[in-house]
Amino acid sequence: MTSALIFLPFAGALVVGLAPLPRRLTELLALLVTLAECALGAVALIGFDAGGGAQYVENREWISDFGLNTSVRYHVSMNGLSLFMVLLTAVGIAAAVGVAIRMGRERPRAYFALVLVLESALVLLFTAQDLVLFYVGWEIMMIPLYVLMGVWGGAGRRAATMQFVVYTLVGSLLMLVAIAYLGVTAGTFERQALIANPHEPTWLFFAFAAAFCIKAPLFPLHAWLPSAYRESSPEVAALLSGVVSKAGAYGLITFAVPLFPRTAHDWRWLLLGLALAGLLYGSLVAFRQPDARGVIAYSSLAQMNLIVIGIFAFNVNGVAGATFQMVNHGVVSLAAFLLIGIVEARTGTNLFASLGGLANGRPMFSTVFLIAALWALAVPGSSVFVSELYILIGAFQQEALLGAAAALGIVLAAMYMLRWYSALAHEDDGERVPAGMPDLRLGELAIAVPLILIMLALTAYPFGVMDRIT
Amino acid sequence: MSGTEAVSWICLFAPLAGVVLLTLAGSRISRELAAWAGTAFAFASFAAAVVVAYKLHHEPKFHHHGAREHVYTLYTWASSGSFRVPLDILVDPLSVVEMLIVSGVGTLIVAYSIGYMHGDPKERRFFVYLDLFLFSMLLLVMSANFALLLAGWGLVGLSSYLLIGFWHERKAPVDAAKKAFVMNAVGDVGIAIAIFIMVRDLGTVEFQGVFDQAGARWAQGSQTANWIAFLLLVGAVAKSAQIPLHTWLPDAMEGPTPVSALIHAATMVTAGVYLVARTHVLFENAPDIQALVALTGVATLLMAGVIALVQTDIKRIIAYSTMSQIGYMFAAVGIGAYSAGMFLLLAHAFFKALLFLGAGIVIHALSGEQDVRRMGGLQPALRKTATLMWIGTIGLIGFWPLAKDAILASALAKGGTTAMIVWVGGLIGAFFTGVYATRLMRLTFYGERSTYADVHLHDTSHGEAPWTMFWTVAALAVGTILVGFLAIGFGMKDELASWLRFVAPTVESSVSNEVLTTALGWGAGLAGAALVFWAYSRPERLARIKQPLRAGAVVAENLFYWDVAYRWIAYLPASAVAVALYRWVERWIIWGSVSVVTYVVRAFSRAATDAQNGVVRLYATAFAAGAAVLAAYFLTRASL
Repeated sequence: MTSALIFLPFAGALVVGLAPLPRRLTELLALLVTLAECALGAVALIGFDAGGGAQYVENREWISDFGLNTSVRYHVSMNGLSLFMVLLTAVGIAAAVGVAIRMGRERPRAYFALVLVLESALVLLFTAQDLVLFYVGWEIMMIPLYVLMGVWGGAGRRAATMQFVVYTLVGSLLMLVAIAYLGVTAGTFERQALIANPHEPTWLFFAFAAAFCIKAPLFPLHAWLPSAYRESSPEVAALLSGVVSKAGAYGLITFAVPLFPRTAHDWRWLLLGLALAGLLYGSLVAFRQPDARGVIAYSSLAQMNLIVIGIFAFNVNGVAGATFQMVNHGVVSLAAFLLIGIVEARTGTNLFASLGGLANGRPMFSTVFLIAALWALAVPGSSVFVSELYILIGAFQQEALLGAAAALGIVLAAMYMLRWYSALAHEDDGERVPAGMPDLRLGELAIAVPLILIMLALTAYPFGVMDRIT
Repeated sequence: MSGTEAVSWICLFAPLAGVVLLTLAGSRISRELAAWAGTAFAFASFAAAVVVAYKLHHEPKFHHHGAREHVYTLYTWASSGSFRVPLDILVDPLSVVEMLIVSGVGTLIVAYSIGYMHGDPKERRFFVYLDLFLFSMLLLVMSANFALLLAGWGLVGLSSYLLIGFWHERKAPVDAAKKAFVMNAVGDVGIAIAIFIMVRDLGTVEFQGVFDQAGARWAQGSQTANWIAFLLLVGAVAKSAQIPLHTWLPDAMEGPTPVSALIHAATMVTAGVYLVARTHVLFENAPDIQALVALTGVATLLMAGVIALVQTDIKRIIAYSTMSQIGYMFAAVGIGAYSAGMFLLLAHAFFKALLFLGAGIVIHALSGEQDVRRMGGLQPALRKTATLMWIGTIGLIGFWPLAKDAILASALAKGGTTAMIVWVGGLIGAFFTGVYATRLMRLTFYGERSTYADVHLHDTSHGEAPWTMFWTVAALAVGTILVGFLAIGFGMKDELASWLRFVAPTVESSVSNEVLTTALGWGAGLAGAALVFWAYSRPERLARIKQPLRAGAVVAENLFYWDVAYRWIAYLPASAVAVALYRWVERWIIWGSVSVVTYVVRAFSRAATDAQNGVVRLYATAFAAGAAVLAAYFLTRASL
């Protein structure tokens, strides 16, 4: 099952990329592959045994002699968190492909092949139980992102890609060195084996954490974020913020903390402090952004830092909240960026000054945007509210002042998201909104409605996810 | 699932079913059908509430655990393994009273909207939002744990946001809606932090668990006990528009009038009173904070009473009167007179909804005009409306039902500094109430008709309003009259108090206390009312009274400068910090750092490979460099 999830998109990428099919057929094929991946994920979800630990295990020798008596194993499996990250990936990629088809991307074969490779890599890294295998997934994930951003991005794509490459590369290399050191000293790359025998030089933890915290990103390592989220095409921005950022948080939860529990615990205040700063900083900066993407970009920064707070609260509630929030924020920010993409396609801009009035006589526009905005601000009763509540409870248990300060983020989120929604939806039509612009069309609804339904389902029954993740 | 349980769930979920079905139906059904269907779902909820009340009433009266108190659980909503939040509801006398008010008065107001919103392009959506509100409010009052209570608490804030900003084509409603949401978010944070403490110290947020353990875990008057009560008070103050988180309520009058009646008078804004009554165990465990509740109430009732004197917008006058009345309720629960506070909450739901809906008829008749200076002399044209609104005014001033007097009598009976402040402040407030309530009626219905009204008054020869609007107002008037009997007798005296006894105790007061307080209260109200008619009968009298009060009036007209203060203390600094962070920290430090790194890496890559700095090429180069480092590392390790 796990291998099928990993290699189905990869096979799809080969076909899509190499077969000289016309545009329509290429698009259809790519969409079918991503939908098949979703279906496969759903099957895995149904067959998943809550409380059954790692499942769908596949473990065989990959590289028998990696030198120095170490071997690399093809060891993949899914625990609850992996499962939901894989599902998030599948849904995110499917939605992104849907948007890309609507937008009609240039050179479709290359484009869709890259997106499918990205999917394979993401699924691999979310399921890998061997450090080298994980690193392979991690690096393969980067390559399509660089190209998708650098070739299909907006006007400022070159500089944006450069920053992204440089930043993430520094982190990756640090992690690579740490993996090599671990493998050599411990004689294994197996995650379980390494957890059983903790190796604790402090720098190892930081080498891993650097890679993950840049990806998440943790404040103040987010310099690449605003331009990457602004200059990428909307679907790539959606994937960066919705799915790829979760790879960073996933790495912290799955590798950095369990491999180096003592160092992580000793240094938790450094990360908690930075994350708290990032939460408040991102929220404040989001409040004054002049464009729809800017607000979501910085709110994404704030939310990811909140997740880091949950992880380093070092208690059950914080981690439960953080993992559930990874799912929630994934879906919400996918929806937000894809919706912005729709607005950009219609109006050619995402500047608040030229927009407004989308709710006038456009009930579906207003409803869909409203739900995305409300979930993004964690309206009480929503699934995001649940995950934030658990994170904050965890933070409060760790240190009362931390929990109380982080709770301020609730007010700030209301401020920036309502501003976002009002600027897009309310008052008179903006100057760039075409006169008589119609409501959402069927193709757009086909992208937005499933994401909305997922948010509602998560809200009706958060325990369905939390029970499997924790 | 017992019968009572099933009916309770129906009461909660009927309005939600309305939300879902009306949303899915969209424009496939006619506006009329949507309006009637929205009302039907509200009524279904009310019918269920009546059944629950009936069943509960027939359970054994004397308290032992489990009688007249049921917790029903649907499923586990969320859990981390250590801390669990079930989807459960508490059905007991207190929640039943609230269920009846919310769904009953709610149904009347939704029905009124059929006529009021007729022809609005977004009529269907309006009824979706009203049903969403009813669901949220029922969740708030039925929840059996603090987490779900907070969910309901936030969702009523959301509904309020949606309905205040219903006419979002204009800027004012949008701004008012945002303000209401954000100020209420401050309150939400208060309750959230109280929840954090409960989970940390008790591991549960179930009402029963918390109330049972609170006294043992947190010593009375201890720091934690005070914090919990204080944080809950922050939530209550925000939702109920009490000082200092009150400034959103007058602005909320930008919403359609039925919204003002339902959310901003009858139900949501009194949720703070419900919260204190529901959690009275926690407040009694923190006597200082409970006194603060009472003092907040007194301060608000006086300030709002003064501001109401100088308002000229008919809805804003009623809004400030609401704030003031809730001040009385806070005073009541702050001195432990919970059932007296709940009695005013109940009576207020009727007479205040009545006043708002009556004002809605006036506004309708004048093509949307809300300024009382442009009304006057409407009584002949709106005879029935005027009569009904007089019933509401009598309720508001407190001649009947004697709800306010019950609170003040309890204060007198209780004694002590706080209670005496409540008593004196409440009587002064009664005079203000008499003045502003009568002034509203005098300016709207009597005196000379303004030229504006002359021109714009609709032809009312075939009725003042559609029957759908009118009968609901009449029903509220009947309700106002009937509620009074709960205080005075005919076999119903103290019925509410005994109904609530075990959930929210009251202060017993003597007949002499009640007679004295009522006499003084009536006297103050009557004096205020008389003063208005005396002063407004001749302009020079009015001028003579106003002259010495000029300075005070300026303060009142500027709403005691709260909005200005918030602008300078909160909004502008937050904005400035946000801009400064972006301009200096983000642009210079954060982005600057990446430029430095980029520069170094570029230089490195150029030196190493002489390559152009194409992105992919750079990446490949660096990757190769990394691999080289790795290889070198392996080799050196191998040679060791």
